[in-house]
Amino acid sequence: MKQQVWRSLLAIVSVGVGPGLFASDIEGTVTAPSPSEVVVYVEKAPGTFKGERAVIDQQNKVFTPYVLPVLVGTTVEFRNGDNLQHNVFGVGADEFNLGNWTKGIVRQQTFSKPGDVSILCNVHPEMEAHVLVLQNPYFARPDKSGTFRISNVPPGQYVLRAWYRGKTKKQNVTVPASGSVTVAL
Amino acid sequence: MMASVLLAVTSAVLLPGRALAIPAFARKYETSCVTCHVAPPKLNAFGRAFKNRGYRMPKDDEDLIKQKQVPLGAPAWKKVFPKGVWPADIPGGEFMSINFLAGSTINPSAPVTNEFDGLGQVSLLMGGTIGESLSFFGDFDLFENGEPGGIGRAYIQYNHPSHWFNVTLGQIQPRAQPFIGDLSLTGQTDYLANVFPTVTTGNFFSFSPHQRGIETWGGREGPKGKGGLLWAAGVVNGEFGDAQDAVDGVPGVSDLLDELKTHAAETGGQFDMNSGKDFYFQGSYKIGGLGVFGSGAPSTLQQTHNWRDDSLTLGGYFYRGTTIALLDTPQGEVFDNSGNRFYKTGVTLDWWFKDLNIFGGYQLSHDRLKDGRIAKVGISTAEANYVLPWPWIQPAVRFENVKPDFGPSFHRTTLSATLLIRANMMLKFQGTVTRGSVPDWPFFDDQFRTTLRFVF
Repeated sequence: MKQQVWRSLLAIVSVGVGPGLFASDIEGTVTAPSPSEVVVYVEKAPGTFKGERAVIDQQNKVFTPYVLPVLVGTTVEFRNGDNLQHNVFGVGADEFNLGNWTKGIVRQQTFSKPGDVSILCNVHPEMEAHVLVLQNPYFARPDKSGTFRISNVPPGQYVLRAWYRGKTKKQNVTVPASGSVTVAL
Repeated sequence: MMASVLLAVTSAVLLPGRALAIPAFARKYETSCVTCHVAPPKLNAFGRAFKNRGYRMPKDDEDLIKQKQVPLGAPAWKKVFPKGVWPADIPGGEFMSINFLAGSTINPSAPVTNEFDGLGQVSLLMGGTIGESLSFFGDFDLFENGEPGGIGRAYIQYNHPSHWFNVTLGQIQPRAQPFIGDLSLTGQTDYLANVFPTVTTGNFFSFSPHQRGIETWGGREGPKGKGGLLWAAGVVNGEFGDAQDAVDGVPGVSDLLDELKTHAAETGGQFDMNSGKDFYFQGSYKIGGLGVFGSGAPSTLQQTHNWRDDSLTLGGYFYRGTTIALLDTPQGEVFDNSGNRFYKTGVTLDWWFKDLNIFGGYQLSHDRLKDGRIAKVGISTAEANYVLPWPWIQPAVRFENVKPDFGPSFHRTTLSATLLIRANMMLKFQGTVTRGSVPDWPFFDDQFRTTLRFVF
């Protein structure tokens, strides 16, 4: 019991204090046909982070959003906004099948393994989404022009990755104690 | 059976012109024919790379597509395989195009020395991609010279992402042939190396218009992504082709051809006349220029000076076939569906320097009949094309020398001018003159032909 308390306290300290004292921004641009579908993230950062809740909706036979970056431990609600039956199942880093359901019902899945989980619908094979389960909160989604900013990253050397439609591209980056670092992916 | 097959592959050697540029690709990428063609149907280096990649742009293909593909399942279904079906996509727009051709011929030796063929040819052309690694291509003549047409090239192709190993299956144009008339500015008359028959052995095999079979091929680009190696190996039926038309109306020879066809039809399979399949190998190496798979290609689709590709390509091929023969035996003349074991082998050269392209080659045909007879034919070919300051005018000249060991040699000269009067409309003037000890075949009559082609 004592050990669990200590672990919880340490986690709170590392989340709340670690990144905040000395931190900088990673900013830059990505080049992709649809930059807003890119997720730029720090592959691994010191600290333990806790996931919360997120939502993927299904409307007009399209998952929204197409890509959802979340922290490990996040519970994602899968909604059905269509007047027809949908199925949701995941393949990749985590595998599950939530079955079929109709409008108004919400089902959920907690993502406990880092990596790319492809979300598919067994009823509508053209539907696809991705839950990108990340170890840390240092990620960003570029705007339409491809510009992004990851804020409050602790100083250090990292591998920065850009995910796009299931493929990734990486770049080493050194984050200074203050200011910002600029990259192009 | 066999007869119907032979009919299907028969078309006039002096062609109105077979399928060339594929407007379906122009439509898909919303670009002009000259993106890939020096002038249709001749491909530039970019067009050859496009073809080698399975009809995909060398760079940023997905970004350049304007008519999006229709997905047959989201890409992530690949992760479900083998518990689910591997996804694909199909052309989202029109993958078929129509080719119209009208022409007139002047032949001083013919019974009618000049005539119009009206709308001599109407054909459907198709091409596209299926998913990331499959593609298809085909042409179908609705009618030609007033008669119903048939299926020309028609194949499906697999391209491995490494480009090292690819497969083409269907009615293909074997890479083990010196030149492909369908891709030539002077192709209105096919290359003699493709269609000249060895009449003394009754060998009417020809590379044109296509062969049924399977071809594996691939390649690797050279240092710094320039030029590179291409290889091919294939197995095909080895059917009669356009060589039949070269002897059309020739006394004695056309009779022999008819007898061979009749016997083959009565004793052959559905498509082939014997169980022995033909096989071939081909290889080439390009020094300099654009990579054979398009490395270094621009991400924009260029329209001018894209024919320039300073490079030298050297190649060689070997084709081994078995065909029917009428053998001399002590019991008299006997048909043998596998009576002739022949090979065709040759070397080729293709040199591009600024606006000039010179290419050529030498081919040796060697027939050995089971009764001991041997026949050889050597054919030399040279062709030049120069892109004028006005790239919509494309002159070309071809010289061919035929040296059979069963008769005297002769040579044929072809002059051609292609005028791209619109991006999809071509006016062509082409004349052929044959000199030397020319066989007395209508095929070798001096002729001048004008054609107007319109594709959309």
